[in-house]
Order: sequence, then C-alpha cells, then structure tokens
Amino acid sequence: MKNKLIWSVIGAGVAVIMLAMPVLSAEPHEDPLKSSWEYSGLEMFGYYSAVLDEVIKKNVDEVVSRLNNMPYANLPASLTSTTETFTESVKECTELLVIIEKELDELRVLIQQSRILEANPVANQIISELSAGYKAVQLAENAVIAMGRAFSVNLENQNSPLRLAYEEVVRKIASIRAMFNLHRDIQINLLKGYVSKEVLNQLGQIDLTAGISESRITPELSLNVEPRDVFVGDNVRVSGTLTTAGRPLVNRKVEIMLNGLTIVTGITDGNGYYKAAFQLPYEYSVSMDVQSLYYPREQDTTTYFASLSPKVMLNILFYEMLLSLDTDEKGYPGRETVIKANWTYQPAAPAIERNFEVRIDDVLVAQLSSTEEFIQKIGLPSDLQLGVHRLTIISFAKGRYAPCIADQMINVNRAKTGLTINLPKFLLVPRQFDVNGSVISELGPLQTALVKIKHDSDTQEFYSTDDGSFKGTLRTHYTFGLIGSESWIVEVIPQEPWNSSLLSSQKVLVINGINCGIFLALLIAIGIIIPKNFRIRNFQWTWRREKIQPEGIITDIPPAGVPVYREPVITMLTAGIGSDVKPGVGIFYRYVLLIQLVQMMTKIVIRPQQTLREFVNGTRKTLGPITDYLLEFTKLIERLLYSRESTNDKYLSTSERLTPQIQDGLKSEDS
Amino acid sequence: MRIHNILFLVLAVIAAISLICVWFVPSVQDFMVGNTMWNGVRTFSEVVSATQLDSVDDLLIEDPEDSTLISVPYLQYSTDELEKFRSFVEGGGTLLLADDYGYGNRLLEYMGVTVRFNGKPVLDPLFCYKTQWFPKVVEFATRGDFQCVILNHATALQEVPDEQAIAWTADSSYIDSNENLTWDEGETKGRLPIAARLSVGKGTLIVVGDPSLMINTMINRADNFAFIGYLLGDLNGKNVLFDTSHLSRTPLDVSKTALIRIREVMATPYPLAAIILVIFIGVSIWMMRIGGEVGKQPQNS
Repeated sequence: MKNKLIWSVIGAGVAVIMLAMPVLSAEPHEDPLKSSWEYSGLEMFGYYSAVLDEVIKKNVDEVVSRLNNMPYANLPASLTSTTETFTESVKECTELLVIIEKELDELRVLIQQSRILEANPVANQIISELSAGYKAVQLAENAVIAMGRAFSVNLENQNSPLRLAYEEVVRKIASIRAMFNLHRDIQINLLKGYVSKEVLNQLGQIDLTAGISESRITPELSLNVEPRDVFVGDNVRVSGTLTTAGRPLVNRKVEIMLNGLTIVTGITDGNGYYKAAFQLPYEYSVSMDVQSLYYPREQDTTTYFASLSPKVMLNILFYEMLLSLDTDEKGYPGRETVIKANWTYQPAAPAIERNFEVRIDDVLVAQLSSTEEFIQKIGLPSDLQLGVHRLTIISFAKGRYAPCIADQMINVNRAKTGLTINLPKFLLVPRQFDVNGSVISELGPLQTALVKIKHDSDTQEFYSTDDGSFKGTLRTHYTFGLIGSESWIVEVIPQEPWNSSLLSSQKVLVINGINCGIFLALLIAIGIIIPKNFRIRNFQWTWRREKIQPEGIITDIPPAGVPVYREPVITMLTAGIGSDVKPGVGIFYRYVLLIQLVQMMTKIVIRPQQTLREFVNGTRKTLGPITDYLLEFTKLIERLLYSRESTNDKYLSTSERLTPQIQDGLKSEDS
Repeated sequence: MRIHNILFLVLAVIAAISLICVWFVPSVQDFMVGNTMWNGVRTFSEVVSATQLDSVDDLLIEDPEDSTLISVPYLQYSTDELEKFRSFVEGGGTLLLADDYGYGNRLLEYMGVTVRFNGKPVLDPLFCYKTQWFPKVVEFATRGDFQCVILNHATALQEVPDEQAIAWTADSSYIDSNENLTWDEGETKGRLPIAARLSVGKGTLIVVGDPSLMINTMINRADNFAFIGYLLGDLNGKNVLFDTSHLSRTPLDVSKTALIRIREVMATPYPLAAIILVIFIGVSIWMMRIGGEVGKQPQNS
C-alpha cells in the first residue's frame, strides 16, 4: 500500500504538469493583429524634408525613388490623396527644374548665335514649363499645409520637433519656388532686347522676332556632300556657298555638323564658297545627317540672322558581323567548356583577324583572336557560383568591320557523385572485414577522391584509384549492442571542383556474437533458473519429475507394463498415496492409474456428470475387447465403493489379474 | 474497493488523458511546425513541404545540393552542430539562417563569413505596418514578384558587402541600440541590410535578420511569401528541413518531442527486446503469485 501511495503521488504530479502545459505556454511575441495603428508626423515631415533636399540638388532619380516608396508609408487613410498630390507635385517640380535648366542652356546658345527663329519655340517651351513648375510648387505647399493640419502642427509649441520638421518642409518648398524664380530671371536676362520683363513675368506665349529690326536678313547657305555612300573611317568632303541676295559673304565661318554636333569648320572664300573634309567616325549606324551652320559674329549680329543649310543624309557603310555562338548547355566550375563561334559578314567582306573576349556575367574569362570560325575550350572559374550564367562573346570593331556580341545561357552545376560500395548485409562483430566500391560522376570516375568511412567515432580513409575504385579493410570494435541496424557514413570528397561531394549512409545488420551469447545466458538465468528456485505457495512446474520412489505396497506394480515413451506423470505421491497406504487402497490406485492411462491413450476425458461405467463403455469404439476387462474392474470398484463389502483377497487377486491384462491390451493397442 | 485503489485508478486515467492531450493538442510555441496559431510556422512548412529536424544529428544528407535547411538559432549551437552545419553548406547545401536576437552570430563566425546580426531591434516609424516594430522593406537588389516585405521585431545585418545584400529597410529606419523606442544621436539610421546571400564552399548561406517572416501571421502579409520563396530559390525536387532543435520549447513541446522519441526508440530492436524481457518477467512473477499447479496428479479424494 505504501508503494502504491508513492506511485500515486508521482503519477499525480506528472499528470498535473502535463495538463497545465498549454496554460504555461505564454505568447512571447507581438501579434500584429493585436497592435494598434501608430502614425508619426515627425518622421513623415523628416522624410519629406530629405526628399526636398534631393529636389534642390536636382537629383531626379533619387527623388523619384524615394517618393515611389510613399505608398508603403504608414500614414492615416485620410491623408492618402494629399500625400499622392505631394508626391506627384514634387516629382514634377524636380523634372521641370532639370528640363528648364537644359533648355536655358540651349536658348543661351541659340540667342548667342542669333538663331532667333530656332530660339522662339524654346523660349516659349521654357515659359510653359515655368508656369507648370509654379503650379506644382503651390500644390506641394498646399499638401504640406493639409498634412500639418492633420497632425495638428499648429497646436504644437514653437520648439517641438514636429513643428520644426513641418516648418523645415515649408521652407524647402519656398526654396524650390525660388529656384523657379531664378530660372525665370535667367530667361528674362537672355531674352533682353527681344521681350520685355513685364511680358515674360506674365508667363504667356511670346514672339522673339516681333521686336527685331526688319533690316536683318537671313543668308542662304548651301551644302554639297561627297560621297553620300561612305564607309566608316573614310573621308567625307563638304562644300557650299554662303550668300545673301546673290552676293557672297566672304571670310565667314561655316560650321559643319554631323548629327547636330560640329565636326569641322570651313571659311568662305571671295566667292562665298567654303569647303572642308572630315573623317567619318567609326560609328556603325546606318545613316547620319550633315548640315552646315552659319551664325553671325561681331558686326554681323546687327545685319544677319543665323542660317542653316538643308540636311544631307549619308548612307553609312560597314561590314556587319552576324555572329553565332554555340556552347555546352551545362558547365562545371573549374572545368573547361567548349564554345564554338562562327560568323559571316553583311555585305560579304574579306576575312580578317578579329579579337574576341569571352565573358561570364560581364567578367572576362578569356581573350582570343581568329580569322575564321573557331572552337575553343574556355576554363570556367572554379569559384563560379552554381546556377544559370550568361556567357557572352564580344567581337571588337576593327575598321570597317562592325563590333558584334552574341551570348548564350549556360547552366553551371557540379556533377553528381555516385557511390557504389560493397558492405556485407549481415555483420558479426567485432571483427575486420573487407570493403570495396567505386565513385563515379557523370563526367567519369573520380580519381584520388578521398573516401571517408565513419562508424561510431572511428573514421577510416581511402583514396580512389584512376578508375574510381577503392578498397580496404574496415575494423569494428566491441560495443555493448546486441543486434540491430547500424550506419556506416561514407563521405566522398572529390579532388576536382566540378564534382560534388557526397554524404551517404549505409545500413548494415550487425550481430554482436559476444553480447548475444551473454544475453541469451541472462535470459535463461532470469526466465528459467530463477523462477525454478522461487517456490511460492504450492506452485510446481509440470516438467519437474519428482524422483520419488514408491515404497512398500506399490513396489509390486509393474511399471514396465506402461509404455516408457509415454510414461504417465503419475506417482504415488501425485495420486495422493503415500508409503503408509493400506493394501485395499492399492486396488483403487491401480484403477485410477488405468483410467488415466486410458484417458491419455483415447484422448477421452471423464465429464463431470458421467459415471465411471458410462465412461468405460464410451471407450469401446477405441479400445475394443479391452473395454470388457476395464468394465469388469469398474464393477469391482463400484462394489467396493457403493456396497458394504470390504476389500478381500478375491478382489485383490482380481485387480491384480485385470491390471496386467488391461495394460497389455493397451500396449498392443498403442503399438 | 479501497480508497488508494480508487485514487490510483483515477490518476492512471488522468495520466492517460494527459498523454493523449500532449499527443494531440497543437503546440503554441514560436516557430513550431505543429503550431497552427499566429506564431507557428505550420503554413510555411506545409507550403514548402518542410520536414522537422529535431536533432542536428539527423542531418545526414545523401546529397546536400538537393537540400535546403532552415535554422532559427534561439538556442546555442554546440561545436559538433556547428561542424555539421558547416559540412552541410560546404558540401553544397543551402542554409537559411534566420535570426534576430538569438545565437546566429556564432554560426556565422564559425562559417568564416564577415556578416553578423546586429542583435538590436530595427524600427521604422514611417515605412511600417501599424507600428515601428513592423518595418517594411521596399528596396531589393533584384526585383522579383515582391515589392514590399513586412518584418516583425527584426534586426539588421552588418558587415554585408553590397553585392551580397539582397534587401534593405527604408531610409527612415534605425537601429534602436538603447531600446528606448526613439531614434537618438549616435544610433544608426538609414537603409539597413536585412538579408544577404553568401557563398560558402560549394553551398549557399542565406542570412535573414527576421525569422518571423515565416510565422503564420506574417507569411501571407505583403509579399513575404514571395520573398522567402526567392531566398530559398527553386525548391523543386529539393528536400526542405526545418531545424527545431535550436528553438526554445514549452514543456508541451518537450513532452511532444519526448513522446515521439520514446515511440521511435521503442521501435528499435534493443528496447523491444528489453520490453519483452520485462513482460516475460512480469508474467512469470504474476503467475508465481497466483499460484496453482500444472501437470500434477490431483489429490485423490
């Protein structure tokens, strides 16, 4: 009872702990669903202030990048449209500032060159953009004021960080407006003499030619270009005349522009004729335009406008390279891959030596030269990251031969290592045993690969031969295991960077002979010997054959009559008859013995409600005439049991006569 | 029936119910694969078909290149475990190390890389979800199917080479070194790397400053799942392992693991033999106690 109570208390403790587990598990992290919204006006104005700094620096990309993030900002939903307005306005301001600045430079050049007709649309464009800029600044300012109201900035004291941040943004918007003002002033200054300040301040459309003296004239400028079809690098000759009302303009500079950029300058002679030549740059586009420009300098500025010749188109000739690249689809780090390049020219051109660069993801891996198609092995870097890479081959331009680039994707991976190892399926330990195997990848056998075989704390190393095979002897140590599956871990470390390493587990059924023997002995000891020595109450194993020799009265019972091969486990003791038995009892003993013998042989048992006579009659089918002897003996027993007659010599002699007869009969029946 | 027998019976029933509860009641602990609550990783592990790795000893992989291991180091790694992780990655495996305030730096140090977890919270009061504890990541080295990732109590990475960084927080984020929830002079502010991909040996080490990206309540927020998918790469045909051996566990998790272990151990030959032996001895003793005779001739009346 004491033990049960102790176990009860322990059990109760375990049960309570287990049931309490869900309760003990506290939630250590924050669930966002349970958090409430928090907005930071200070951070928002701080961020806007930083964005406006970039506007002032005219850093369009940075401004756009930062403002594009604004949809992800944590702001009240009521401010969504306001922040969108601010974002769009500020982006527009930045772009306009950059564009206006560029156009002012262009306008400056045009005005300086008296190219008023060309300057007119540029000036008007700037005016439109200034107008849009002022509008965008105003929208941005309004948006900031609205956001200030949403965050109750006016309720903050003068030195609060929120109020300071807000005022900083407002100040920076004012600075941006000042930048537009500056650009407007620059334009006013450039167009001084053409348009009044008041007109420009109205930001309406203007006409620069309106205020110009009608006496100024535009000269006529002609242009001839030879040849029109020209190879890159060849010389182009240009010529023309600069005249006004049929009269030549002498000793005037005429600029020759290729694709809008001045490439050479000519001077007019006494006939207003100018000529020049330039080398066509090695730019492999199919066409370029040539144009001459005259603009008045010094005293001409009051007499002439600038003049542009008609454009002349040049057909640019070059040998276009049609390059094709073929590579292995798969590559291996540290291993060579084959690239095959071939090309043709359009139009057909003589073969010349071309220089090539081979790059993997823009990293140069090889350089080579070739006149005709080639097949080249390229070593891939051993530290190249696995995955798909772009392999590019670049042919550089050479004179009339245009450059060309071709690329192809290559999948770089390591070759999978395969392992074949012959380990026994069953292993009786401890002992040494031979092991052999081979390591091979899709690229062939792994040579001098390190093969580590680990078992428990023991590691043995082997190296593969040229054909990838390895062999050796593995040792096993004595352990405390009995029988079971154990793992041998095989690690293959290839020498080549293009082969992958391998970690494999090999299961072997291990039988520890020593331990199994000890265990069996223990089982026998625990299961058989110990219970044998535990005699509890009247327990007795059936297999225990008591060697109790009956003495006295029953010594005359011929046990030889009973078949030895099915010797009944019946003794005087088990039958309840001791050495002090009376002579009459011997009759009963013989009868009981015979009945048991019959039961054993016939497999017929006496049912509880059955009389002895019924039982004996029931054995007739099996025993035949022996039943008559048995019946006679039964009747004798019945008389002794149920009549007043007592045991006498007659009964004794009858029983002694019947017993051997029945035994013999049974013996013959059994045989 | 005696009182102590009733008590014993009741306790036996309670113990049986407890065992059933332990077996069937889902875990509520962070990052547990079996946890279906907001802080578990059940959804993630189901989608990527992750296998729970209860012990690094089980990290024996035929082909590391075909395996991706995810580890959240809330418990210290032993030297043996560090060695196993290194062998795994150097052998070509992919390791996603997701940590915020745990022991990830020890593994990074052991791997021989310069990248470290800062270990202090990254907060962003502007680009965030609800509060500054949930910063939004909107800048990525590569534009994939993700534009915004929401973090949850994350930390930043440091010493990350630009070409290895994958994602950064916004300019308004800062490292709250003194943990007063406000940016102070001297505290790092600006775009902070929170994920990086490094090459180690033949394998890949992916470092992320927030393991909470994977929990049930976060995985479907914004583009978190797409981002994790991008980090893990092509999982087609890959074996995804989720290391739970470095997570702090509640007694329920411990009990669950213990039960699973016991069941596994019971299925091995030696314990099975021991159980049979115990049953044999028990039955023998019981038979001896109840007494009786087998094979003896009955007493003659």
